[in-house]
Amino acid sequence: MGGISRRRFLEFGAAAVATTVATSKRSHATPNFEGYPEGMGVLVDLTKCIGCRSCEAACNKEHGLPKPEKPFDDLSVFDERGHSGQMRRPDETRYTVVNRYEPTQGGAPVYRKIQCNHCNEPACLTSCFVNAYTKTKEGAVVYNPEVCVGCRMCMTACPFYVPGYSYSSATNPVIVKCNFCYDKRLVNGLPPACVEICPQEALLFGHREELIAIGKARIKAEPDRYIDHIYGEEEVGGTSWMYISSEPFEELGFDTTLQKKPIISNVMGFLGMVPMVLAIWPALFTGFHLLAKKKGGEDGHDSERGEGE
Amino acid sequence: MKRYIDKGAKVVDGPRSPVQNRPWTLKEKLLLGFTPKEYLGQAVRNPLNWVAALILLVGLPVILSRFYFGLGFVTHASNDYPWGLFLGFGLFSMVPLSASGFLLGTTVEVFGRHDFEPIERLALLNGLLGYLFAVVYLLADLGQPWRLPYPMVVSWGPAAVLFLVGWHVATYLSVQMAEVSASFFEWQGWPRAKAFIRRIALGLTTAGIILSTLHQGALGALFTYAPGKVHPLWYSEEFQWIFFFCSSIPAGLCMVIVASTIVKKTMAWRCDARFLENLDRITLGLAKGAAMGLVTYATIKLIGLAHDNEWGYLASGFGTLFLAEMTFGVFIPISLFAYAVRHKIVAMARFGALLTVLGIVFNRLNTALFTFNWKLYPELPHIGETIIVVTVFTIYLLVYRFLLYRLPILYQWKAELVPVDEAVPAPKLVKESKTPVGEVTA
Amino acid sequence: MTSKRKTTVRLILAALLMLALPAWASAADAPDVIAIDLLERYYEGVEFEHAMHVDIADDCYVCHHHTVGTVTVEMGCADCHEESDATLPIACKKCHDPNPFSAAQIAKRELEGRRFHIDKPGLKGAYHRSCLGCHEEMGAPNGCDDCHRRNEAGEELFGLGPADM
Repeated sequence: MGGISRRRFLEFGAAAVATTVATSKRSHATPNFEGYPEGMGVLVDLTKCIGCRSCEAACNKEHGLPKPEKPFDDLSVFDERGHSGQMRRPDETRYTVVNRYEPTQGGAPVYRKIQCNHCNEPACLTSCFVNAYTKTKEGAVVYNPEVCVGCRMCMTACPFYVPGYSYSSATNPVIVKCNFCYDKRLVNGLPPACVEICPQEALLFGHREELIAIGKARIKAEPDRYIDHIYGEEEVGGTSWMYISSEPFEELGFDTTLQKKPIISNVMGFLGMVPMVLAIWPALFTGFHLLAKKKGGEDGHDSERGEGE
Repeated sequence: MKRYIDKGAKVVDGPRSPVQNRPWTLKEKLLLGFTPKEYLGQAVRNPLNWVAALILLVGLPVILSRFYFGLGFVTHASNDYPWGLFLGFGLFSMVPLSASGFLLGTTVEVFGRHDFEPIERLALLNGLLGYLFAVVYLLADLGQPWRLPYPMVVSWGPAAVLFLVGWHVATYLSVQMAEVSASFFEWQGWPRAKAFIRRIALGLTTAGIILSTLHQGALGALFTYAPGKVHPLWYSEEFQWIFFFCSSIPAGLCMVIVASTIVKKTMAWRCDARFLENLDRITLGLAKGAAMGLVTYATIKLIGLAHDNEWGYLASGFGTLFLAEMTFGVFIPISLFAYAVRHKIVAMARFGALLTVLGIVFNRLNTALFTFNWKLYPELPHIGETIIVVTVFTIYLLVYRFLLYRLPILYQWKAELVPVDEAVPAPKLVKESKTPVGEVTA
Repeated sequence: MTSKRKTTVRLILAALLMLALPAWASAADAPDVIAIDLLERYYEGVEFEHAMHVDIADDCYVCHHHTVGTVTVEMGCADCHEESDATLPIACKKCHDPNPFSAAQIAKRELEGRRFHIDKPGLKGAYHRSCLGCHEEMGAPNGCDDCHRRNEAGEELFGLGPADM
């Protein structure tokens, strides 16, 4: 009887191993990924943004999003405050928003555009259990609503609080976020709609590596003007969208405490342990069982319960 | 119920009616051997049923509205707080409290501690129902619950921790189903099916250990996806999964103590002598296990604090919350258990178990909800969400009670169908056990 | 439509003029008013009063960097062009591409090895940075509407019905 049990649980073990083989493979492939060489990106120069909200308007039109209550030339939206003084954020009606910050040192207000930063190793992608996200070779992080179950793990995982959820829909709620205009523009070699419309060229579109070079050159050329940091060059493993600024990033709502390594690296330890448990536990606990049986002198396991005793 | 039994009514506890000397019909089994009128009578007289009815009256329409109008109708529809009470309580709290199944399964089947057998089935059922309702809560929370099988069949995301949770919870649910089905097969009178389950019991139990270790830990690992959002006092990149796994051990054990206490107080008529006479001894045994689990957990927590050098946070408001959680959920229970086991004070162990259970729930809510987004703003659960959580929990209790009333969980099925070598009376079990706690008979 | 054609004609004329004249072009050679219709998709054209700006600007280099043969203040240019003579192209759009982010432009930059002109703004960026920077400094009108009048498509883009005009 013990033999049958052992064979039985080996079957269980085999099934469980089968489900996690892919896990280990994938998790070991990630550590040295540094983004696609041909990946595109956008460098946002916050010193150039004038807060005209054209990008918001262009995005809205490009993606056929619902028209907002206030037109896009209404700058009073900068004073809107949500929960506990929160500034506007992307949600199911808008992929991007521009917010206004008053520098603590005084001086002209700084405008910051928020949208998906299209991480090199996106937390949303790596946390999704139905693989709804794809990092394309062009650099975009795109989402497939067809397979999404709606667990909202990606929203929890996103270090930039980017994905929104269409909570208002009862039958087909989905994640709503900037897709880098991937399907209509990026694949055709066109810049995203927001970049195209920006009057100041505060948004610079190009190869990510080129943009980093430009960002560094700008900082080098005007060291007194710029903070010596390209936000997104290294944050959470690097992002396709990056920022340079004249004001400290933490004053502009950026999280400057983010780790440099990608989010996926946080779970690697755990994922790496999974095959170990699957391999060792069955033998270990069967061993315990056999020891326990020996000690009792007889198979206490079988004699006991007809359950009808 | 008690009233009938005091009057000498016989509740179904075997395949045959002793009075009419024929097998019980299914209807009679379902009504515990009472007439429909009698059964209804006791149900109406039970005030708890009225409370439950009231909750359902309010809650069921809210649940319907959640599916009709969408999640936004019953939650804050927050993009900053994608997870609320459904997962914070329903998934992250219910799952550790349901570790009881694999813990007692391991104790009895693997380690051969048959002195814990009288409570094994309660622990298994507690585990099964906990997981089942964790899935119910999950269904309430998922944007598109009808796509729940997608990670199994439509699209695989095998590198995600949640993929592992999904697969393991699903698999473990079937394992627990099989484990608990033994009692159903007895009740139903299918000895062959039951014998089959008995044969694979060790396999099931081992599968349970593997699956439980991994997904209890995985629930913790999920939070390492959001390193900046979980407050440092509740977060440790290296230890998060160990925190969750380790705390699930006292959580599961204490949940069995709490459940058995409630059972003993409210449905002693359903328990047989074997259960009642061994309960105090078993409770102290479980308390001992829980205390050791808590000590381990507390140690790892302290190592976690020291490892990430988070002492400074203790002085903040979050620190107070953390200390309160640790004091009432961990340190006080440890002391209570230690004292209770040493002096054999069962009531004290039971109180400690209750504190532990609440402490675990508090810990999971703190991690997932109260201190989540600590740099942003706090958010309290929406009233609709709260009503649904309470309603589903009520349904959970009703199902729990329904099964306990009927299936041979708290009592042993008087079967003539299975050959029995000898009837093992409860006191004998007590005598046989060689552990110090085993000598306690209350 | 007619204004657009007029502009085109005018621009061609201006270009011919510049071709005819060698590099010592002076402000007097430029048209007094330059029509710009870069943003015709959403806005009506802008009439840039060149002559008026010549009067108030300190010198040509303020806008034209090194291309008119004066020293340049633009640091990106100065590295190479500090002592350059005046160049043939003078009009903004001769150097600043109206589609700086097109695949062709990006490929071109790639080809040049990203060594020079790496951060040269496109035409729209050049206009706005040049105009707005000065307008803000001088306290001149600097709202979008001060220069640009939205056309119907522009009104729609900004979430205003055409009737709201």
